[in-house]
Amino acid sequence: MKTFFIFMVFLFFSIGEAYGFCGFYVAKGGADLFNNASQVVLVRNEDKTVISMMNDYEGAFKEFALVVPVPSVLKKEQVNVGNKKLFERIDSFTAPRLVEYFDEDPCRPNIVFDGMVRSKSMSLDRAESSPQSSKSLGVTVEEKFTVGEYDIVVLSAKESRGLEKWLRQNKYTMPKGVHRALAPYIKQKMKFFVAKVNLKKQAKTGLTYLRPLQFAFNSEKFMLPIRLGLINAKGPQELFVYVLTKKGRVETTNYVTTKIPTNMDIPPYVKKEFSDFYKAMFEEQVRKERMKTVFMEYFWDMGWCDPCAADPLTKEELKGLGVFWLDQGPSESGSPSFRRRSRSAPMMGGAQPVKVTRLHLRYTNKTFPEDLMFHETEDNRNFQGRYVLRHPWKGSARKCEAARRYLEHLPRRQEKEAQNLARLTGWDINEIRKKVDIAKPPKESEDPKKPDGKWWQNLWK
Amino acid sequence: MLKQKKTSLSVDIRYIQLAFMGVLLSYGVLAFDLSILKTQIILTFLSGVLTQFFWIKRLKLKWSSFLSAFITCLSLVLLLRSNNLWIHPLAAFLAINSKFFIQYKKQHFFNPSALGIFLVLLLDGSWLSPGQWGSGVILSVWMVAFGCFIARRVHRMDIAWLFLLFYLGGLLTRNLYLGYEMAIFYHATLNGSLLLFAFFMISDPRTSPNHFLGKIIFTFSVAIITLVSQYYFYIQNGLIYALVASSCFVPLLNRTFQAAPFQWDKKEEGRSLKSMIFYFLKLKEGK
Repeated sequence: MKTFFIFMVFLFFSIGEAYGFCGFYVAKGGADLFNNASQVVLVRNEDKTVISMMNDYEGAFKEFALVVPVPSVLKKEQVNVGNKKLFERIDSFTAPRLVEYFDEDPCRPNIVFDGMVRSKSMSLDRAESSPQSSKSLGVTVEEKFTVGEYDIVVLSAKESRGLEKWLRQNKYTMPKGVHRALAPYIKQKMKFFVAKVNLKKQAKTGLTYLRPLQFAFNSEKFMLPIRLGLINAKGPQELFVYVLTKKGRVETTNYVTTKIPTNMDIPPYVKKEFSDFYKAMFEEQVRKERMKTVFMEYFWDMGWCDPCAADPLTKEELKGLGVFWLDQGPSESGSPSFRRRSRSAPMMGGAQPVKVTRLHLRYTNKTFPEDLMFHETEDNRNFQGRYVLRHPWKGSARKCEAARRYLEHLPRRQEKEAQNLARLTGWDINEIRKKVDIAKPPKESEDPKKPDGKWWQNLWK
Repeated sequence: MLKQKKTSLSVDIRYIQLAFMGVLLSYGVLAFDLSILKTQIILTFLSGVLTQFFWIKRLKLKWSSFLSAFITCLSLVLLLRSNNLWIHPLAAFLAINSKFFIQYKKQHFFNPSALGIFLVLLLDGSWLSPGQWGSGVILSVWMVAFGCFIARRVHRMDIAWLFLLFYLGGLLTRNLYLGYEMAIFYHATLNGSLLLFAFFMISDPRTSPNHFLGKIIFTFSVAIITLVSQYYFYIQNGLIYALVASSCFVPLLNRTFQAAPFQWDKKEEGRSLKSMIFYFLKLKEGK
């Protein structure tokens, strides 16, 4: 049984061991790299907040349940079922990227720029339930509605044991001690958003997965509670937070936010193993920082990118993720509620008053005991995880003096790339060297000045 | 007893403070990825030194007053972040000028760097990164150790501990009331920014009250304002706002509870690096 909370805490309950993480994901399309991972899109301007949360739940839908402490009672129009594809889009747009260069012919300079390979992230978690209501436990059902394939109740509770009992009575399998974790949220007068899958409605969608849930509300707090999700988590959890704001970069105020290493030259063979590289690189950074750091993998204006790992998100897509300030339409001054997609034309590139910060963390309750608190800085310096592949020029040292010099220098460069890779990923340097196939420096006989080693041959030419 | 210690190591404590803050800055830039540009650092010092130079010339101050200006500049560089090049020098300019413009009985009462930061935070383009030092045990121990060493020499260690007592006491009460795990409290206790503030900012000997009762009221006020702004109004940078707000009452506290004001020890003040080295050499020779 697993529990996972996010935002004002999303809590998934799972049943039995059947849904234990199988230890690896098989790549399909964009490879899912990280186990136990969740993705959250956090849209924030002033106190208006929209949170979209996606989990890669793969168990039986009837066993899915989600408990989310929220700052106030959410009404139906504040909840929406989002589009999974948009998570893939924002993931690929912000993912660390490889840039490929081909060394020019040293005798005839000419630069060729190629594309890049991108990597991916993913999420997974699970749940179960089937709610009924019971009073006298201090639990009040404040709202009850259905959105998309989800049946939702919004609860308020007077004390945590009552809430735990209510959830148990309504067949939510609760981890032990959950009331202790819930108590601080009740004392802060937060409400609880409980969702389960409406099987009939789900069948109608024809989808084989659950779509992300989105919430819109006002809250002074700019935070993402991760604390409760760790009650009975087995091992570290992985979290990607894409924060969409108007002004600047977002960082955590109660943990260190560090940029991932970037702009490093690494051996070209990594192109084939970029997913492994990204994963190993992230693991190595987590190890170095003793799992106490939030990593920033990307910060950029949403309107453009250089180089682009994917096309910038269109205005429509951004709205789908909850960005509510893109048009001056009839958006309410109070809470940013969802409306049907407007007909605005897709806008590729161009200035968009949207900045995206991609944060990535691996955490346990020992290293991240407190919920994530954020603040938006005024920093506008772009950042991306970018790794450079330089394919060596293949030619003869005899072609010209510059070629000889180039080939002489090449092994040193390749060695440095190998060392960079070893340092970034913690991979064995000797294994890397084998794969790199470090070029041999040109022999003396290949010196264009001394063809065949006979110095006089060029003398009277 | 303290006097005896002083005579055995008569160096201006501000050198040691500067050295520690300098090491912290280098460590921060290297290990913590502090988002500060070299140009910002240079401009801060340039602005700070020029402003101080102006006042030294005008008021015929001692050259050793540069030390305080350096400390102000280092504090700014350690704490303040900006997306442009003018915020830092402006903060240094405002901070150092505030010492000469905002006085009560010829004594400034705002911590210059706190006031400089407070003023530029009102403008666009600046922010603080309270999470930048993390909550590592080793760094925290070093901060407390050096902080105690320096605060003790300037007779302000009580301020640092009183503040921590009130702040952490308040935080602990809140956490216990809400039912949070103790790990959250420990995490907050080891926060590098908090310790830096306690030992290097609020304990500034020239701008904190002189009398013990004054110190209690002052630190209590800073702690309470910080807690309320952080956890009730969810305002970032509560520490700086609380210090600036509480500093307004320092002249009143000093008038109500009278005690001898702090003076940089005449013997120590301005002792040059050269004489310090000479002193240590003499110590080694056993003279």
